[in-house]
Amino acid sequence: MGKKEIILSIILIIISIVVFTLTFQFPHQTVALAPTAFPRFISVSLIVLSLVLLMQGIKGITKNTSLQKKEKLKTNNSFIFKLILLISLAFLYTRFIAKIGFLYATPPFIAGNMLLFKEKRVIWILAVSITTTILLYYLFRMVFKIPLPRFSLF
Amino acid sequence: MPIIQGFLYVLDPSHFPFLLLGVIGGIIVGAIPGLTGSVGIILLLPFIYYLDVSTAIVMLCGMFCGAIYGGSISAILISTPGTPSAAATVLDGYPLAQKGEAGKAIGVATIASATGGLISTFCLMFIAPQLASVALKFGPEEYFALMIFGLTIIASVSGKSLVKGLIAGFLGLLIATVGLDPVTGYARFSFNIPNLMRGFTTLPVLIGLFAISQIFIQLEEKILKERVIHPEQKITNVLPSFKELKKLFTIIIPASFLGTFIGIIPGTGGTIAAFLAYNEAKRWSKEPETFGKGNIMGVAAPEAANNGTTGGAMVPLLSLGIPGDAVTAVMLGALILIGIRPGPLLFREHPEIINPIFAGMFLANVLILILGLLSIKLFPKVLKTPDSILFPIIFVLCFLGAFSLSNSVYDMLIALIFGIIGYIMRKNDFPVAPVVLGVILGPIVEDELGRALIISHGNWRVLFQSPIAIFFYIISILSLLYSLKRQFPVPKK
Repeated sequence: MGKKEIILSIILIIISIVVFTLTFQFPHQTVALAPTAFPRFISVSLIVLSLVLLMQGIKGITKNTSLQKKEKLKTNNSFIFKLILLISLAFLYTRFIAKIGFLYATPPFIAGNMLLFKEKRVIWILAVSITTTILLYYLFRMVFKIPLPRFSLF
Repeated sequence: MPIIQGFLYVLDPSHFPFLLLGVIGGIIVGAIPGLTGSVGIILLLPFIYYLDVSTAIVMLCGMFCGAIYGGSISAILISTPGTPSAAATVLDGYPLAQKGEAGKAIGVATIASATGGLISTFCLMFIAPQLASVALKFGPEEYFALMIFGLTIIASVSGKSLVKGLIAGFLGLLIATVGLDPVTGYARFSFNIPNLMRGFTTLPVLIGLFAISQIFIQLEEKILKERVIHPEQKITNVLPSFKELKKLFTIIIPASFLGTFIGIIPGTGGTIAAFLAYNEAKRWSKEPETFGKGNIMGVAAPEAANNGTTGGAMVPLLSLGIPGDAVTAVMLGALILIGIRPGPLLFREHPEIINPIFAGMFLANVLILILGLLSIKLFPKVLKTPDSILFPIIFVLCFLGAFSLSNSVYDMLIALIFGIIGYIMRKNDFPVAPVVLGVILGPIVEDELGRALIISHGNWRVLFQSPIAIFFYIISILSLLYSLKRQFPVPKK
């Protein structure tokens, strides 16, 4: 418990206040359950719980500053860089699959993933990315009859 | 007899292969550390859309039972439980493997798991229909109270911090409010974006929170942690002698019943059952000092108990529609996605589904016994599957799963966003299982509350007039108090 909890609880309180405020745009309902009731109950509960977390965080930061330093995540820059790369790759995949189709978008996505997971054997990267794509394409299209995105000029 | 029809259905050559595939998939998923039964069920979903509902559920049951058993394999061979419920198996399983008795340990784990699963399936067959017939009398106010009880499970699956677990649960409830309001039809928090009007579909949320976030965690482990090379285990002498088996069954049978009983209580799950059974086995043993050093009873007891929870956890899931733990919460989501709403009405309106489930659970455990004993020598090879091949393929399967629900690329993006949210949550010790419970149970709670209030013309007192509803409120409070007590134990004087 410490700094992280303080930051997260503040973010949660802000989100809850925004949610609570947005409910004032909902139509007023007098019969049965108004559409505002549930979101308001949830946002108020979240604010209360976030305040408890905030208190725990403040308590933790005064108590365990030395422990916190020791526990400081072993997260290194190389990992953060690779995680951002992986997320960007996945994001690009979701963007390109509709445009260039499953068959062309998937092999580079798998290959990129394999490289990030420290696979160095080029033959393996090529074989796994191409074979998996073709197998999944035929399995989903032919067996499950799910129309996966295809490349089309028009 | 309807149950025989269930067996005939599952054993039909056009259905049985799916159960077999489910069990094999479950064992593999359970055996690989980092992949749990929840991830297995989620990955299976895109493959079962095109199946008929009963076959799909039977396959899910196979995956569920297989994964719980599979967790013991890596626990014994590499001292890493494949699933959380196999954590207790490590205590004696790995020391046995170090002594060169890995084969015997896995053999006993297989026999114990199958027995636990079979006993719990019998209990499921007898208890679930009775409980469902009682629950058939429930009206919206009783259902609302029952779902409130279901939501208190959030506290039980909160892990280290109750506050963080509750926050995660409320976030799940908040996610569920996006889209059309069940009572008035007003599109909440949609900002006139058509995709947001239909809300967040459960499957992409599940895929993101459980599977994609796990891929990010695996990447982190791959980069930051040194790879531990475990010595190759020789698998010999798989079957114990008849005398040993007789002795083992004196602990397997009670542990199976204990596991079933624990499984029936919502919010408990396989991990608690396994540790309780392990402690009981140690307490009743004539040589308790040998536990932790490679006592075969220390493998049999937790394995019988954790597989005992499979049938037990299906009791509240099928008869009341409330999940017992994280895996059954995902199972509930999966059933809703394939068009089945578990609960008492399922027994009255879809008896054709219930009997294949019972038969499927029974045969899944028989298959665990056969496959487990026959393919025991292949297990060390399964554990050698390189992460660099496994996780990229799983990533594509996650996206395909999200896409195949409604052929929408938007759902792939939602899965990725929830993957990032899930990763941030897990890195900050926020459990993801409560989010799932909130997402799944939230709309049901709101729906039942709305119906109760419409029937009573907006009279809120109706919620507290039924004795059954009051009973559920009381056990909800007790469940919360128990979680609080567990979180903040009273210091001994």
